[in-house]
Amino acid sequence: MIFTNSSEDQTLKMKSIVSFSNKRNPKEASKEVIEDIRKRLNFEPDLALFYATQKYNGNYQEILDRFGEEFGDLPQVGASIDGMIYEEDIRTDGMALVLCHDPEARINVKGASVKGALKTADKLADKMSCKEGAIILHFPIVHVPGFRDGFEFYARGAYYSQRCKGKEVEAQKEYADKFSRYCDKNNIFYPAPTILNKFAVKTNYEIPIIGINVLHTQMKVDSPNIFCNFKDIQGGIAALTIEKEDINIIYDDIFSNKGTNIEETRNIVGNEFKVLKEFDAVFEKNVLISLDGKPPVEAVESFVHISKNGEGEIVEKFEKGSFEVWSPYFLIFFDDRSNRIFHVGIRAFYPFELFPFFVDISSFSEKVWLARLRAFTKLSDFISPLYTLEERERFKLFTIDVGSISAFGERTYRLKKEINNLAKENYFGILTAPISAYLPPKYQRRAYMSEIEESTFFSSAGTSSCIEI
Amino acid sequence: MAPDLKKALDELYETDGIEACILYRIDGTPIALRTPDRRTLMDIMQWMENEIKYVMGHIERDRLEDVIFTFKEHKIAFHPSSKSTVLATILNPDAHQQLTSLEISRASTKIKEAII
Repeated sequence: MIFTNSSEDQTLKMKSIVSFSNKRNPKEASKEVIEDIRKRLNFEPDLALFYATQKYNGNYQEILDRFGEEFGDLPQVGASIDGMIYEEDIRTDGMALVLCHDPEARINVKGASVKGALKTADKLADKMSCKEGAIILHFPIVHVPGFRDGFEFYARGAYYSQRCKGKEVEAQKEYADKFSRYCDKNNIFYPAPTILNKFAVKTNYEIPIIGINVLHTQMKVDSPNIFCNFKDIQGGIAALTIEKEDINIIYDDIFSNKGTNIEETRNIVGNEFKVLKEFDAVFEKNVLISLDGKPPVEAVESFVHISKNGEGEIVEKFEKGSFEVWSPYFLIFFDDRSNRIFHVGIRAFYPFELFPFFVDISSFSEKVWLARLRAFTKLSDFISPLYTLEERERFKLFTIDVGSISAFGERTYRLKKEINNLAKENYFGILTAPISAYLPPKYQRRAYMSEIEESTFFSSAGTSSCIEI
Repeated sequence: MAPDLKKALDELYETDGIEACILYRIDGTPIALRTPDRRTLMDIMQWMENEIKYVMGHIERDRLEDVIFTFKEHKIAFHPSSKSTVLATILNPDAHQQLTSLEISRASTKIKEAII
């Protein structure tokens, strides 16, 4: 299947062509895509975007090799994702290759993949330069290691959980800090705000940076995967830089504006979420140690149903790719001094008691809410950036939180018409985990609830973006 | 068979986690099927043919969008694809239910468009 995006104005707008296949056999799928592209391509491409669902897990490099043979001189970026959107269609199974042409843009893709999530970000940020335009990062927010490393992760988690038991808070924090450092060193959690900030510093806080955070709603071992210049760099980070005047960045989240002070924000959060319980939390960096003195999942279990899995069941689910990560219940953290919030989904992800996740919450206060979203979130809120498009002829690369599927099920398919009405033509959308963003002030259109650090935006639900090129 | 209908079924059958898909008339007569080996699914297909009228009755009466049966080795989803047809899909129990249901919903819509 193929769709060519075309524009009457050939001078300023990026042009694109999308080819899609969902053949089971990766060779047949890549062959179908290449043959379709050959038939329809009517410009010299300057950029390749490649996204694929998990059905090709284990075969990504083989597919990239075939595309590399065909289009190897191009900068290429992409990732394994849960779905994609192109002209009036939403697909949650298959692969898409998007070729783009824009002689006015300076485009390059760089990547890094070294031991240590933050070291990987440092290494890549050191290579960056961008005077105008935008940077689009691709990185996993959680990378599930292979079996051997996975067992070590469980063993470490169990060890540090055991060591925390019955200890003073300071001692618990020391063990949690050690576990946090272990997770970073082994590329398991990629703290999005911290990573974005490293790139913002390198570009003098002048360039908007979108973080396409990759996390599948059902996870497999050795996933998700990042693609950089036709290489599967697995848990690495890839940066697409598009230097061009007047690139428009639209960011939004599904929440109301935050308040002017933390009390007002708490009231607003209280209206948007159904608050079930307030806890006193103990945490260190990105590791939650306890809620009201109990292990986090155990504390939450008294108020909501959480099904628990043993290590064997978790391993089996990861092997089959059926380990679910979406949760309707959140823990909401408040940063009282800077009037910011962060929420993270909670369920029995681990066969141990500590609860690590993908944001360093050191600056947040110890009063934590257990909550769930109220039912009045609208499906169209998940595509809100598309309602403020400036020029429909431009190429539009947008993201939608895949949690919309978890929340609205197959009704999400109905979005395709609305998206097509709004974007018209020349667009490509990615269904993946909620994105993160660093936005210089001129791109901040309102007081987003998802501002987690100054000018840095991230939430574990409902963030989206659109880049008009 | 209309090319768009054939294409919709072919694409659905390529979906990860989907073992077979069958388009039935509402009286239980199969119109088109995509299966790896009909013999291995014979029992389950026989069961499905017998269930169609009952399932359609429930869908119509209770205004359901679909009906899913979960067995130990399979999940079976019935989606009405037009007033006279039902799309039945046999899924691997470990298939990603939300993502595959979107693909089934897509195929069902495409079939409806092809039939009308």
